[in-house]
Amino acid sequence: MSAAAPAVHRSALPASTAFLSVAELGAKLRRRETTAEALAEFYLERLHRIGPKLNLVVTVTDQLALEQARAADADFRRGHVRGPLQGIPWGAKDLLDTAGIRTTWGCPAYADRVPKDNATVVNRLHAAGAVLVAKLAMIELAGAGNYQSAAAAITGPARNPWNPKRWTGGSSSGPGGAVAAGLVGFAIGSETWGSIINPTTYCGISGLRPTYGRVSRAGAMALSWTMDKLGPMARRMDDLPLILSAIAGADSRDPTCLHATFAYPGRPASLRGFRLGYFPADRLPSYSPVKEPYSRALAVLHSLGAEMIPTHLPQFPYGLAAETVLDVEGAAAFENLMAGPDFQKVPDAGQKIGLYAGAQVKGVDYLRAFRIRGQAQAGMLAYLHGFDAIINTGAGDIAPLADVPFAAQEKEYEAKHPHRPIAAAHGAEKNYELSGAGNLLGLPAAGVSVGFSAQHHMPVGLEIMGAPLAEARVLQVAAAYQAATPWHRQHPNLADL
Amino acid sequence: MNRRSFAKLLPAAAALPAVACRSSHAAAAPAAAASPLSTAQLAQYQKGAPRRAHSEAHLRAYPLTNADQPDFIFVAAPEAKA
Repeated sequence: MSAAAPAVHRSALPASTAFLSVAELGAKLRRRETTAEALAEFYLERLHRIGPKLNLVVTVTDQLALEQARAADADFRRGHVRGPLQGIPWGAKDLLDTAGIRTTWGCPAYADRVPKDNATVVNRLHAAGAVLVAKLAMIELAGAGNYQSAAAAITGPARNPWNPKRWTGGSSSGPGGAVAAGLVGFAIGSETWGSIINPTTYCGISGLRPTYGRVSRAGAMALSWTMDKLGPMARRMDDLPLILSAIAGADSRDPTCLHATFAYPGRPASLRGFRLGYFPADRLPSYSPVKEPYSRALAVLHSLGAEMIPTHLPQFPYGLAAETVLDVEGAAAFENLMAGPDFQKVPDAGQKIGLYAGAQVKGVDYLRAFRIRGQAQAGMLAYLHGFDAIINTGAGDIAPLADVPFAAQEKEYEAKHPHRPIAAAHGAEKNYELSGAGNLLGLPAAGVSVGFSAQHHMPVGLEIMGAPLAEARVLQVAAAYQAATPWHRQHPNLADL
Repeated sequence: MNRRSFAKLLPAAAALPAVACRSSHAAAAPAAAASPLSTAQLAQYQKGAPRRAHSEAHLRAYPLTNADQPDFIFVAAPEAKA
């Protein structure tokens, strides 16, 4: 299905089309101001021209995209509107199976892997009339073994549209960068631990990590059977409920999928009546590049009428338990890879070492993590009864450099800040606590841009986490914040690429 | 997200409760012949043993009783379990 050479030409659509939201693109289609085919050609051209410069794309699906776009146009002409995603170009993280189109899991060991069937999420978006334009880059194996640099990807280091010397974050690197660069209308990423929220905040876009079990993972690469989640990434918070509505719901192919409906009541005019717990900004060190934007974001939420309550999570070893679960399940998921010759095709040594280490963990330690998880879940559910959402910084810092190993960057950082405050050393600085808890317990969270760092002018984000199945509440908080701020209307200048 | 960066966020070793660190993957030296890793990678794996031992000791310090059973089919929303 993929085409080696671009078969499309520059579109007559204005360049600003690239950064329209799903809702805006859909409105243009329904008003017949453009066609799905013209939109597909527009984004395909950008994918071919810009995608390789930023290492954001594995495969451009020209032929399929044009077929789907023409079918969407035919439906529009017949007055058959399937929903808000009809005719909207989208990109899939390259761990979602696509029938007849190679799906590499971001790793040279799977460079020629061509699945026979679509992932359930792909089928659901096809049924919604969305147009698949690309399979997007990712960290190999979604970072299964703990990678050492942004280069751990079949496409090379994913470059951030805001500054190509910096990384997009991972492991949903392509979805984050492609949405920010206006190469797709929206994307589907995955998160086991941080892989949606992290690139969302590094790239200055909007993302949602749904509740574990909310979205079927059938046909998606497994990294951790009890932690993997699939979720939408887009330029506007208001788009995320539209996408989640299309992909959520029970699936006989995924027994972990919940029988739960998703309903979004719409973006609220204010946050009056919302109780938001937040991690105070003074937990961040003075030198943190996210401290000032984070402080301003808390003030905006307060000004919107939310009751703001400083808080800390119930005390459980979330992060350590999550690491144990992820390490062991990752090693089991890639047991065959480790046992065969293709293991040597995994280029990042850290991945290989990490997978191997995961295979050495004792059964009692894995079960210990599960036993702790049960207690932490009970504690967290009781705690969350008191809040509509919990707020913290997103990734906790700005995007690292794309071409320097992480260890070297961390060493330089340590040298610059030898007397880091205790709070920083215990995780406030890197959002370890909230991210570890949210992913261990499968809780939903939204990532939203809250501005730019003073130095380097890179996006900074917020994580808004809620109770299980409380995506609507989380999205309402994020959407109300976004509507009151200008950050989502700023886009990277790609003219110099 | 790169999880290695989190390792330094753990409390210092001196702050650890007195827990015997039974040697599992943390300190055990794997036999090179049974490993898919190269000699250099095995050396790097060994270099990470103290960090892994540190993490394991913390996890093992968490108090659990015989009655605390694992939930083998994890469900994030218990009310949706039935």
